[in-house]
Amino acid sequence: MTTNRNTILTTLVLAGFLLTAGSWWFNRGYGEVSPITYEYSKALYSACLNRNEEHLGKVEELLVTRGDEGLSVNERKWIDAIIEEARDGRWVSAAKRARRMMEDQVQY
Amino acid sequence: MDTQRSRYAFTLIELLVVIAILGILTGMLLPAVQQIRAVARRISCANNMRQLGLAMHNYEGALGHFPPGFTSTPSRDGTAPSGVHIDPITWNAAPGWGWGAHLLPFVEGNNIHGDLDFAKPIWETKHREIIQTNLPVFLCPSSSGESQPFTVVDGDENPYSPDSVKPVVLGRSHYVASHGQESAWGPEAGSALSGQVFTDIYTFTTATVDIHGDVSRVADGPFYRNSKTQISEVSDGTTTSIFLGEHSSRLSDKTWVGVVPGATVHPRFSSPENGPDGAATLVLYHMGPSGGELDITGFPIIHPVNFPTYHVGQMYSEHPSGGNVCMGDGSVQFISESVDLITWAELSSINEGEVIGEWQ
Repeated sequence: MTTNRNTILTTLVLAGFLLTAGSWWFNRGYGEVSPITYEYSKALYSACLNRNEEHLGKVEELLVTRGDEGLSVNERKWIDAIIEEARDGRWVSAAKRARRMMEDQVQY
Repeated sequence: MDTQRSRYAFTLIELLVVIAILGILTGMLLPAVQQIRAVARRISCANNMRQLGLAMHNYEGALGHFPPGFTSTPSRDGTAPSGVHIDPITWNAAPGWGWGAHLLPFVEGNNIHGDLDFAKPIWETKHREIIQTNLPVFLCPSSSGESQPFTVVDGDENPYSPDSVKPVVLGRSHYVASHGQESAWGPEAGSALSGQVFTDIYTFTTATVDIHGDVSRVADGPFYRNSKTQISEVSDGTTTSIFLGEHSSRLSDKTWVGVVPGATVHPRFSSPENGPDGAATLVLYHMGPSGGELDITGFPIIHPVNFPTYHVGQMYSEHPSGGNVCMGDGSVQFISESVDLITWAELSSINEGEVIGEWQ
């Protein structure tokens, strides 16, 4: 009986921990990014809100011209992921990501 | 005996299960309750805006034009008649009364309106107390920021008054009037003499315009310094032109009273993009694109409600996912923060000939 109770308690605690960890993982955001990444996120957010292929293309062009100047490896990955999502036609989701990146720079 | 006792007691597991079920039920119920409360607040806010929209039309009916964004002794060279305070940068000058103050007789504010001398500055001693009044029609219930009157500040956030006697304290507003796509509340409104404007929002063509203190040369919305917009000038249509918007005091201070020349409006939280802005943003906002505001790719920045740049001169609402606007016909619409940017820009101007299709 005691063993059974302990098992249930352990399972409950573990489930709670996993839920909290999962929730944190999915809501952890981007954190602080470089000023140039912020500029890219702003352009991407506008391009995605407008579903504007031309605007998106300009961002890509700029990334080719400037390369990774001022971008960390992760930041470049995040920007590429947003562009890829937009290119796949998932504009709303891409806009949400770009907005999240901008929001994460706000200090309340 | 023991068996009997255990039958009437809860085990720890039973208790935990009950708590978990209650937790889940509360978790399911709370968002629904919050949502209903948010809807109620949004409706209350829309009701305020509808009253203000109606008041604007009553004002227009009585005087032949909509109220001015704010009044300022006109100056074309940065000078003002003796005794009239003028800000040397923006050329904003006394008296400063804003659109909200002009609407008072039409929103049951006759008792306050009667005590105001519109020829005298808003910071005149006799006005000091009455301008601190908070009027419910100017307050949105969703705004989580300050709701009390606020002290006007200068560029260093020090309390400010043009007559250096005592800082000016103003009654609050959560509603601001539309200057249109373009903004003109910095040096371009005064000492810079000229400013850049977008002449075509589809091709992003810009032009430099000589302003020389006359902001009507750049403003493409219904309200600006000394505006007297007539209904016939709203050629884009009153149903498709935004007149009023929201600005929660969580982002910055706004007032129904007017503009104190030389004052500065500071954001309450910082983004990489925002900072202090001119005194005209105490009563006005713009929607973009505005000359010179370009993103990294050269595209103009258009900022609909809650755009995460969080300028003090933009719309900012705390209703979930958007904000209320009052159109030129007095109707109130809820606009999503993910509205199409070009549509938003089209709705911002009153007479640029943009054809707007179905947008809601």
